Amino acid sequence: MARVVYDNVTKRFGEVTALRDFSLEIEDGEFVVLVGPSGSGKTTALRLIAGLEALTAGEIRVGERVVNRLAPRDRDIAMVFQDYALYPQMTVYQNLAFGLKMRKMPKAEIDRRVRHAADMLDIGELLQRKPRALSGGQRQRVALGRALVREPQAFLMDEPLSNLDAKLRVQTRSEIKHLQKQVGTTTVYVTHDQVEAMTMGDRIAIMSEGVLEQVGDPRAVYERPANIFVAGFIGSPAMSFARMNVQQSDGHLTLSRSELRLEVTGDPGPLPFEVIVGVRPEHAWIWREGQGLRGPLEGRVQFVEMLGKESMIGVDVSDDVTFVVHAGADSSISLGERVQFGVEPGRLYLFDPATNGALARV
Amino acid sequence: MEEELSVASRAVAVGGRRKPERLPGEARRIGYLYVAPAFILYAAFNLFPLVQGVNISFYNWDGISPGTWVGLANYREFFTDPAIRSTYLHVLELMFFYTFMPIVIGLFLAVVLSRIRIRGLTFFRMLLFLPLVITDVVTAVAWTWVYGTRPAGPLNTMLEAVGLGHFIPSAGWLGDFNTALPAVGVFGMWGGFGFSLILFLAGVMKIPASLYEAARVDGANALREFLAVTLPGLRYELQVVVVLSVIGTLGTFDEIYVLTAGGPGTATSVPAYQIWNRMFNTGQVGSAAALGLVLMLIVFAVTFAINRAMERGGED
Amino acid sequence: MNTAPRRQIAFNYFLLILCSAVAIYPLVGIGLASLYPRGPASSPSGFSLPPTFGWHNYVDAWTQGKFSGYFKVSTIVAAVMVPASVVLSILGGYAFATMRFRGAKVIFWLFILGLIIPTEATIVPLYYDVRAMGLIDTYWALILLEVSGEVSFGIYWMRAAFMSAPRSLLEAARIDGASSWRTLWGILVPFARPAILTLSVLTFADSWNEFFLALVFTVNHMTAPAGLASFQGRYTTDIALVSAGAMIVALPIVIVFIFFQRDFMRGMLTGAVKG
Repeated sequence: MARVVYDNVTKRFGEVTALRDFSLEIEDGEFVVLVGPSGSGKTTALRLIAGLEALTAGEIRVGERVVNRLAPRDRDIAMVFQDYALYPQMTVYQNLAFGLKMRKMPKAEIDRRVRHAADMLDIGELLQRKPRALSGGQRQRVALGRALVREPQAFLMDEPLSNLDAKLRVQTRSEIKHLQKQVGTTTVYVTHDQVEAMTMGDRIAIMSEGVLEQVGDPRAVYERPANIFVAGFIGSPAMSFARMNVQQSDGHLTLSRSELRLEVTGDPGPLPFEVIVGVRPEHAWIWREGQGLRGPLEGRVQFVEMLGKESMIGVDVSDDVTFVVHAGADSSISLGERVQFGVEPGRLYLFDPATNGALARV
Repeated sequence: MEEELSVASRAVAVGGRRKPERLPGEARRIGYLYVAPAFILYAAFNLFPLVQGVNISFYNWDGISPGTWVGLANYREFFTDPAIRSTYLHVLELMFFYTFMPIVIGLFLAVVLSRIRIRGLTFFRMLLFLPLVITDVVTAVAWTWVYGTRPAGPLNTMLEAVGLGHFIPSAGWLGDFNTALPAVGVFGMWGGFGFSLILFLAGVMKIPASLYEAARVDGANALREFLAVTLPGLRYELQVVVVLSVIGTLGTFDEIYVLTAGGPGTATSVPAYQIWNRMFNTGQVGSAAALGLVLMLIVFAVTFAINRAMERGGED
Repeated sequence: MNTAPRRQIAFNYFLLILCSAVAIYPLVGIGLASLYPRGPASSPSGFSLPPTFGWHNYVDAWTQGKFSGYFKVSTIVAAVMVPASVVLSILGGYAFATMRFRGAKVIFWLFILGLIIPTEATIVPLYYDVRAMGLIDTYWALILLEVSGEVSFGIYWMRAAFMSAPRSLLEAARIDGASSWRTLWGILVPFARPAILTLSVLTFADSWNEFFLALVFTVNHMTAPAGLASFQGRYTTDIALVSAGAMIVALPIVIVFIFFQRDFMRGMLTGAVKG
């Protein structure tokens, strides 16, 4: 069993707390992505598993073994670095074989593993080349290969795609995922790119300022964000937020702000007087009758972003509150125009202004 | 919050100092093993002798018979013995040739030469560096020939040829009380200007052209440009050249030995030469030890002072 | 850079050529002088070519002048001293660059101190120490003293070189399970090859050119510079002969310089950060 478990892990660098009471259980064979902005502690969390940093408090277990005090080489993990960290003076073959050689594996076994990994990654022809003679994409594969040959209990990947150009990145994403499914090794993957996280992770752990904000599968995290941070981080373009007043009565809700007014049916339970309302652009449409939309809300167009198949329109509804709304490619909205828009039912997210936590969805 | 307090209190308990954090599985002591060979050698032949030197400096010793304790007498000589003071005065005069002139020449040439792209710069650099790279003794021997009187070297030959032969001192440039030290100085100037030229040239190339353009737009002429853009831009290189050449000049020995042997008389004696002389020729070993330590302190002080002054000063 | 008028370009090159000529003139001069016939009668004036191109001065200097002996001493000292110094510097620089141990900072600054301690400060006690060890006039005296004098710069240099390696490289080695020794020689040293080459070249120059130590610690088995100084003292008026000796002493370092000039200059220009 190769689970990876963070048990109340805290990491401090002098005065700065990089990771605060972090707990997470990663199941055997799972592909978990740690995602968050820079400074969120995701890289620190990864390096703690590797043993490249020592933790301040808590426990980390790899396959039921507490690894806190173990040197990286004894933890049975393999890491893929952001800059690949290939040994510049060694050939690709030697790079791949190095870790195995250090573990005194018999030459025949080393050779078998290296060639097997090279086949899987389609780098068999590059084995005698040195890193400087390889392209970025090829180097990245070698870095992956180095982890593969070790056949460890867990793969640790530190933003391995961020040095690739966009097109290669998309292609390699699916290749990595496919590879992982083939090999079945537990994988902890760090990225700052939420699209990457959403497409690759079995589960996503969203982090911010050293704290785990939410963990769940992509759908859960998208549909039911636990707080404003997660709601705003996941999904692109980001969710629009507005603080609004609430008036509740039986089965009926009125959300208001200045001249804005939204009438909603539903009973989400007791709410505070003020909530933060969140709407994803993909759920906000330019107003059309008979669509069953909530609204209409009205405002002045602030910006228009034509994306080909659709347009994103920023609507200034009142005192500097902007909702991003989307329209079909055939719409011809112009700047400064007054438009109306509505929200799909069940897609108004309500958050508590005091805790930023999610309250309900109406 | 409580956790932070407990970490802090643990640090205090350990001794008030925060220990460098231990990485998992990191071998702590092995660093000592790697450093040991170099350090043992260094301590044995550089640090320990310092202590020994202090001890010796308290004695009047000829190196053979047992010495007599004189306390700080050797150090007091620094203030009373004119011969000692004169070595430092000589070094000061040499600094004009060894430091000041190469900087001036180097700056001027760097500014002039930086205006064009120079082809074959590597070749020229090689030639200009040659004086610095070749053994001092060799270049000094070359200059004894240059200054030569009987037989006449190129300098005297040239002077004779243009009718200025009467300027040549009868004892030779290196043998005349007035010209010996400047003659050594010229040698040093020749040796040092290549280095400062190359350093400044590289430094000037690094100054962004936009600064010059801005100055020009502001109406600055060449001199103003130099003072406002070039000089500040070369602050780092200047500091390097000044520190290195000053320290180097303080320790001048090789060329003195070959060119003048400190003479005529003591006209070109410098601290390092005097130390050697007192150790081997005049049997003043205790004094030599003291002078060596004093020289070290002066080098420290000067290095510190120069770095301080140049880091603080905005302009030259 | 704007295209400058042709006259300015010509003037600049003229200046450059002039400076270069001034720089090498004395050396070219004695180079030519060494080809002159011996004796005080001949007077290489530096402005005319020698009457004959005779190499006899070199032969004389080498055999009767004992320069073969001086050359041999310098070569042996350098051959031992340079590898020893470079290896010690690699070891020490590696420790300071990658390891954390108590007192590391203090020990490092002690080494840095050595960069500004002049040899003259310790020469007196050193002489008597070496004499007590019976090592006067031996290779060991020079080797040990030169190495101990060189490690300060060497450790500073190698530490900087190793610190410029990407941290992830070392971390990958740690995860791969390489020992510190393996990481140093298998990964960092190949990475830092240019820096090591530069250090070796500079160290060789320091050793070959070392005069003061040779003067103090050798009597009969002099190194090349010391031998030259003594030679000049004996044959003061025989310019041609002395010049030949000087050229012999200069030759190795000039050859090394020409072949490794890039490393040399890089080392001298960037290594000037000390202090």
